[in-house]
Amino acid sequence: MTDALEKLKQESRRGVIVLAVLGVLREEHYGYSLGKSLNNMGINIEEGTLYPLIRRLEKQGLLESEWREEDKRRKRFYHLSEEGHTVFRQLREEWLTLNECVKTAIEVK
Amino acid sequence: MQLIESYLHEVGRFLPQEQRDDILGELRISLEEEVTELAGTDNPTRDQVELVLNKYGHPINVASAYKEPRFLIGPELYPAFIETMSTVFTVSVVAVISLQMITWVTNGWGTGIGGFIENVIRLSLWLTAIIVISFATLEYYGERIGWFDNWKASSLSNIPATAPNRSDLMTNLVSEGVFLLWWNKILVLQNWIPGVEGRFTISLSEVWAALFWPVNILAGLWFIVHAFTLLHRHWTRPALVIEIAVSSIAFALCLYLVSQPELILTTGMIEAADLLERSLRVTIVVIAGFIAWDWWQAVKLWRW
Repeated sequence: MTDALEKLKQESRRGVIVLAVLGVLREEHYGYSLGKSLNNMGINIEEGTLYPLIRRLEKQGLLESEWREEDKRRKRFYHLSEEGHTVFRQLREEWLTLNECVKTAIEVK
Repeated sequence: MQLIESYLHEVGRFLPQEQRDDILGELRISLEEEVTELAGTDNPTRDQVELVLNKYGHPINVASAYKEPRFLIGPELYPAFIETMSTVFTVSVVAVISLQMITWVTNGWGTGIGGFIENVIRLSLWLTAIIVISFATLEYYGERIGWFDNWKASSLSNIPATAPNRSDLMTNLVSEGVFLLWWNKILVLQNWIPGVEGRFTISLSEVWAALFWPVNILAGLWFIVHAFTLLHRHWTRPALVIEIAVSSIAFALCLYLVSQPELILTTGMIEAADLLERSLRVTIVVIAGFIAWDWWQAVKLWRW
């Protein structure tokens, strides 16, 4: 039962994480600080999932990145591209609508 | 921090070369910051580094997350692959066992159990290779040629009815009945070749004699199953299992007979003995075709 619940929880979080990552990257972050920001919001995501995800989003043209030095360390900073902003707004609308629908579907009777 | 370098080296071994430095650079920063934060100093202990590395996981897992998932046979095709493998293997093993048993009955022990096992293993390897290559090809090209996207509901065949085709069953029953009567020498065919005059005899070669009982059992079982199905007006699962098993054995038997050097013996003025021999072989191949068709119909019904 616990295994099934864990799998279902993972599945339901999978799509939402992309939206959360896009949302946080409206401001510039490097990988570690992005992970920490998500964590602070209560969205726990493993590094092994987060880093490949942001690379995929960059490959899709939704993110832009650059290597820069900060605190004597070279870091790769990410932020939403113009297309990323457009996609984020649309996804956000979609999510809010879906959220309302799901709320209605699961409300206690 | 040397441990982090060792870890990154391991991850790097499984990364594509063109992305390696980029990915490792990013991972290095992340690991170093996390370790520093955990230790509260720039000089963490080995245990603290290990704790963070354990959290990131096995280097292969970390590296594989950066690649697009690729399958030799993916989750969409896997159920069909397993079903094909099990069907093909079941049929092949039944056919090989049948052929081996027929060989033992007619030609003696031959290659023995060692040869039999060798044949099964060789056949299994070939079948596995052919099926895996076929499915891997479908996996690789299926999506590219739109195999799944171009699917149309019109390609579906009608649901096979479990009600048997009465005329098919009647035809089977009559042919099996006549055959059994002839095989057991109750029905005798005399001077039945039109246009051939004079004294002549046609008899089956010795190879058939060894198959007297096996053929009787097979044809008898078939007759019973078809009669039972005709009376019950629908195929039952046990009847289908017998039908599939008997068809497989009969098919193997036909292949074996066709491969034999001599099937009939003729004496007297039979100018067309050679033609007769060839006609018999063609007839057996045609019968094998009908048996294969019956087998396929039974398998479809059984799977349904």
